[in-house]
Amino acid sequence: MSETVTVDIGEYKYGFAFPDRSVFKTRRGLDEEIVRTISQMKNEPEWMLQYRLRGLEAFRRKPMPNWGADLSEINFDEIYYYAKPTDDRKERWEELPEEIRATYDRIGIPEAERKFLAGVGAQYDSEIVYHNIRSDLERKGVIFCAPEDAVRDYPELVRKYFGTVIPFNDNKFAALNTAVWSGGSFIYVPPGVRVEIPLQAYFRINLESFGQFERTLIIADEGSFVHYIEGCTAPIYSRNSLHSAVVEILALKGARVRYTTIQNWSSNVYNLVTKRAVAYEEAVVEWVDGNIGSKRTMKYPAVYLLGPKAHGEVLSIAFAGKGQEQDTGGKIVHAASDTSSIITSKSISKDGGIASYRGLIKVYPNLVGIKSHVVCDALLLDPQSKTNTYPYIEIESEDVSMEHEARVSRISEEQLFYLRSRGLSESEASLMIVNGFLDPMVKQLPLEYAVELNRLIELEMEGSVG
Amino acid sequence: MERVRIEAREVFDKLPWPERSWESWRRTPLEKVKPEQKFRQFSSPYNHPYNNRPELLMSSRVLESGRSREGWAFEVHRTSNLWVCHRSEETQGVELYDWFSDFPEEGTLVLEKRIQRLSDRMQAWNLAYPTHGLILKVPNHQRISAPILIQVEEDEIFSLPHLLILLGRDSEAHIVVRFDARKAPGIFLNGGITYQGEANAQGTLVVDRLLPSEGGFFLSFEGYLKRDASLRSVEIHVGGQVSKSNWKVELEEEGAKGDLGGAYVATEGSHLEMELTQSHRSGHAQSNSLYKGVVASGGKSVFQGLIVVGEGATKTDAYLANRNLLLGSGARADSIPRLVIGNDDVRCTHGSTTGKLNEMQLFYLRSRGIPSGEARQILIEGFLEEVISSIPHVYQKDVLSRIAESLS
Amino acid sequence: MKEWVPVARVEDVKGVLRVEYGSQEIVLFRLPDGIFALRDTCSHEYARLSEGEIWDEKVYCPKHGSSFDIRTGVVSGLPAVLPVETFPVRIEGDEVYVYIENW
Repeated sequence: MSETVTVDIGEYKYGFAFPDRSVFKTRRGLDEEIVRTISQMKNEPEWMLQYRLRGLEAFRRKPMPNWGADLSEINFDEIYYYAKPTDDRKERWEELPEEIRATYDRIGIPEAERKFLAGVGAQYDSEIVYHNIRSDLERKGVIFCAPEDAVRDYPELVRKYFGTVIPFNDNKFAALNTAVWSGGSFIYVPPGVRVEIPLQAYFRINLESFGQFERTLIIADEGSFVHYIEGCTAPIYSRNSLHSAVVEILALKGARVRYTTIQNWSSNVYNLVTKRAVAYEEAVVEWVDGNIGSKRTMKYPAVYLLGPKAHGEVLSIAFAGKGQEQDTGGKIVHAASDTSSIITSKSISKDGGIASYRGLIKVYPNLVGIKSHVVCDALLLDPQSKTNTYPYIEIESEDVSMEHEARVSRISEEQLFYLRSRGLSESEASLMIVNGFLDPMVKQLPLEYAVELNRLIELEMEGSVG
Repeated sequence: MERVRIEAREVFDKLPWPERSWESWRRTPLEKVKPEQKFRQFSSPYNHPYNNRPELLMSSRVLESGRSREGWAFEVHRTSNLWVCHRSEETQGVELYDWFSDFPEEGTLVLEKRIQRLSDRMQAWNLAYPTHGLILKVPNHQRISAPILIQVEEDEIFSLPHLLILLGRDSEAHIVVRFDARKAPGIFLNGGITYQGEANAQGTLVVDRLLPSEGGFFLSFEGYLKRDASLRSVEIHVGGQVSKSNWKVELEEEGAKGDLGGAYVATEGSHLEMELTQSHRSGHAQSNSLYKGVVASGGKSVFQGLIVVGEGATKTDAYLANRNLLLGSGARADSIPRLVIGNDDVRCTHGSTTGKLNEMQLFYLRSRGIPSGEARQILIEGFLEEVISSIPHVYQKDVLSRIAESLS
Repeated sequence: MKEWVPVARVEDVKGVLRVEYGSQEIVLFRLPDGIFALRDTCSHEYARLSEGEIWDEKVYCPKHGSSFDIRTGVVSGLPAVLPVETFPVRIEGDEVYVYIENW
């Protein structure tokens, strides 16, 4: 039924393997026994096991989506749905291949982060940083832990909100996540509390960060503020080819939540994520979503504006290189008056990559004072690359001001000529134009991420990564 | 004609009936029109209206009858199974054929092209089992500057017409097609129009329909543009219980140009759907579309646009715009403008806006003593003007007065 | 005009029963304290609630999991945002009556 397997790091182009040496793995494929094992390993109460089983049943019943990126190669029976890394992490920085360390140097990832990513785990430096942040949060009453811990320590909170934003049978992949979720973050911010530093997964030094089936639940109580950052720009190699995370956010009255993701999974990964937030009266939710890696990504962060004067924003960047399909976008549902929304999507396609925008703006009947603005810009860097735009706009109230525009362009001869006449090489000129294209989004990121993202784009443009 | 009928039936038989679960039929209230039931009742090989009335086949023909009216170069009216044709001097060369007679080989070739590309049973239906139809051919080098009218009066409650319009090289023609179904309450009208513009042919095509308060209207148009051919089109949809049109322009050769317009008014109880496809098969072609609609309280409009640019279609210029004006609570407008772009050497944008009447402009008019109802009419007319102005002048008034009436 | 109409026999309502009155589709639920009636159409994308699952006295739409409180029709979970219509229920003898628009 289960086995302890020694996993070789083996060959990989960049990034490194998570988990590494010794792991506890369930056998391939998915059935009730596996789900029960997962629940048991986490010492979960009966209600959570029952909820997982409902997810399993829904997963079996639901069909694959008949739209979106090409998912025909996913073989559900071949996948390992649960692997628990042991503490036996002897990976050392020096043991990593030269190219990997060189990449991190180029990208400029801070020392502490590098060591963590190198699997050195609870290293002295990161521990101290982590401890200071943690005690500050505790003092304010902020809960920030793994969802497994939340199930155990804060069951009333979890039961009240878990699965209310994304139910167990929302879609096939949310159902899968409901059955086998593991890792992720649970955050609760009490009323009026502002968490000034962005919270990041690795602060918890959770060995299951960057897991396949993360489940994140963020509850921002009235008037609070929190910024959560998921993922990192460092290319991450995952042996697991299917990633299906679920993120639920509740922003209660007057609260503000910003959720930033930079995803750079290796080129074998299918990244199918369901992310949804509800914003109550005067609340604000902002999704900042960067998709650089993976073979196929399907992700449409959504905001449901349920209370008057709520505001939702999605800022999405996608980079589709050779062999990649980024199928991303945003969804905003206006279910209350005087609400507003902005979706900005910027995509770049290169070497035959395909970047598609799929979005929805829906306005329910009998509302007033609705404003919505959507802009989709696609940049094609060569004749082989492709882009698609599928925006859905459904308006059922009269007092609406809705504008949507989409533009497809490429680096023009004139722009190139101009920059080259100023002494830049063709690749420098291209890079400058691409950076200019992405600038509005990059400005929204915390500084160190912005810098890393810029360097990463530079690498992608050179074609020297992956 | 035989070849077309046989090939079309073959394709029709292999295609399934549309279902609500399909993307392009998701929003259509098919249960109000019940196409499958209509087929069994009126259209299957056993029930075709011509089966037991061969005299209909014999009698359906074209009758020449003197001059066209002032302002029109050429008119053809269908009444009780006859196409009655009125010409002016300059249109002596225009050829007209009834669907059930022998028509020119080039017409057959164009229809065969259409049949090969069919993927929807509703569209195949009026090629496989048409109830009436017409082929209009403008010869090479013939330039007709005054407009041409094709008026199709519908008096049966089941109607499957197909019109084929061919513009020869270097020709010019401005055609208004008008379906008048007011005398057939509860009508099921599923029409098709096929158009081919040969090299450098400059064409205008306006399609308008007058519907009874109950009934279903389906229209599928496919236009093929050859080198340097241009087409200016306007679809007009005012009212109608269930109305769905599918308008596709294929820019097949370099220099082809499409200026595609749509004006629609969804009155209370109307469901209006328009699907538009700008298909760039060849490079160095342009397409520009503007669809503007007004939705009254209790009305619904759905606009689905698509710009498709093939891998080899470089130096494409394609633009699409949809503008919706909502007139009251309970008005619903869906807008789905899509892009599928297969190469980088394109200039392509699309836009969609939805909103209500401009308060400032309304206030301005009312402050000048214009009553509120009239002020709204003025603004609505101003809004649709951009599209209506592309219609041949002689026909504009008809359209404007019908729009005003539908909103009062 | 609303009126009381019989739609089912009490013994036929074992857990969930879908009934039709004219062109209207209604779903009856049996809870420990009685029978409740809702319109059998999810307010999100029009799927049939009668084909959904019931957990903790809430019905979950089979299409995307929108959930509604069976007694009140109020939304208890996304993606639906609008409530589902409820109909007052009366038992007379062995028949279930609902108070509904009679078109």
